[in-house]
Amino acid sequence: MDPKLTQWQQQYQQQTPAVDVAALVAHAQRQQRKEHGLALLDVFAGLAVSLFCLIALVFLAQSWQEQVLYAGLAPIPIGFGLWAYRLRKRHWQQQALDVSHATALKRQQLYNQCRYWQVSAWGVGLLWAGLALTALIVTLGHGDVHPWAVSLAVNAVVLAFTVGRYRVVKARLPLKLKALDGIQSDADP
Amino acid sequence: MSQGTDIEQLLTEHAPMLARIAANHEVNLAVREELLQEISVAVWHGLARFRGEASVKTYIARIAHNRCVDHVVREQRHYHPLDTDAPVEQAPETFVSESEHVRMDLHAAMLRLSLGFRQVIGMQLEGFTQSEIAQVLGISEAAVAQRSSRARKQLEQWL
Repeated sequence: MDPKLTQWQQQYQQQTPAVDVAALVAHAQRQQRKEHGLALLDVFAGLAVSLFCLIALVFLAQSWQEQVLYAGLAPIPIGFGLWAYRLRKRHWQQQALDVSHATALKRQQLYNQCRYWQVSAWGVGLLWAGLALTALIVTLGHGDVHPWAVSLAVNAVVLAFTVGRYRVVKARLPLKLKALDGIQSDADP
Repeated sequence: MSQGTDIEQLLTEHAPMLARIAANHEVNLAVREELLQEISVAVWHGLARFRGEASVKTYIARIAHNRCVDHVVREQRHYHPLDTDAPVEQAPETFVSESEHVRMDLHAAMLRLSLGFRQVIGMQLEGFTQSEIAQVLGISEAAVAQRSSRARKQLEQWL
């Protein structure tokens, strides 16, 4: 190695920013557990809602329309949970790719992220519509509509958040894609 | 690689390199801290899946550079590679000497380089070989040599 590079190397090593290594490691460990937990939560939450739909199908449905509704809704939450888990795992694996390959995939991830929120918005929207339909059927059958109304209100908040998030992500997508283009052209002047 | 102690040791061992890589991509101290934390989490996830396809150091550098590219994309609205007026971390007390001025110049000069040049020269200064740099960045060794040569010329001009 030539002397100039050796001199720069020494300067570079000496200018290492101060870092609390113990705190950093503890944070990484905590955060890694949290992210794994969240990934599993996606799956278990989906499983729980799907199970609820199946229980409702077997024990609560009072007409064939309700049975069709619950049967149609049951696979959606668990399917969504598994899809989200797979997406997260793939993201972790892609972090170890080379930068050039990862930058190309980053573009795909940005589209995926947008699709994630789009699918979420549709999934939550379908659930809300299903609940609304059930509430309507119950109301027409003169049943107790109160618990359904509460569910509808709670799910409306979730739906509003999901749709809002999707619109924000979609609006930012062109800017981020442009930034990626910028980085690639910056790297190869 | 097994979870736990091994990963903890590797992260501890390579934390200074991760801090330098983060410093090469973010000048703002608070944001840099967050970036370093993000890198560490990604490295932890990555090491849990490490199968020995490269040296551990190269593998960790690859993950760190990927996180930094993500960071640059995310912070694009605030990202100004030529913004050398932004606060640069003070050198620790023990390092304050007659050569401090030169070191700060080196860091500032590196921040003025385009990202592609900065990645190559940063890794060279970390002690990576051309072949390892090519592996991390996913470019040919010839491209590494070319970027390195151009980056050095620019740095020599500025220093």
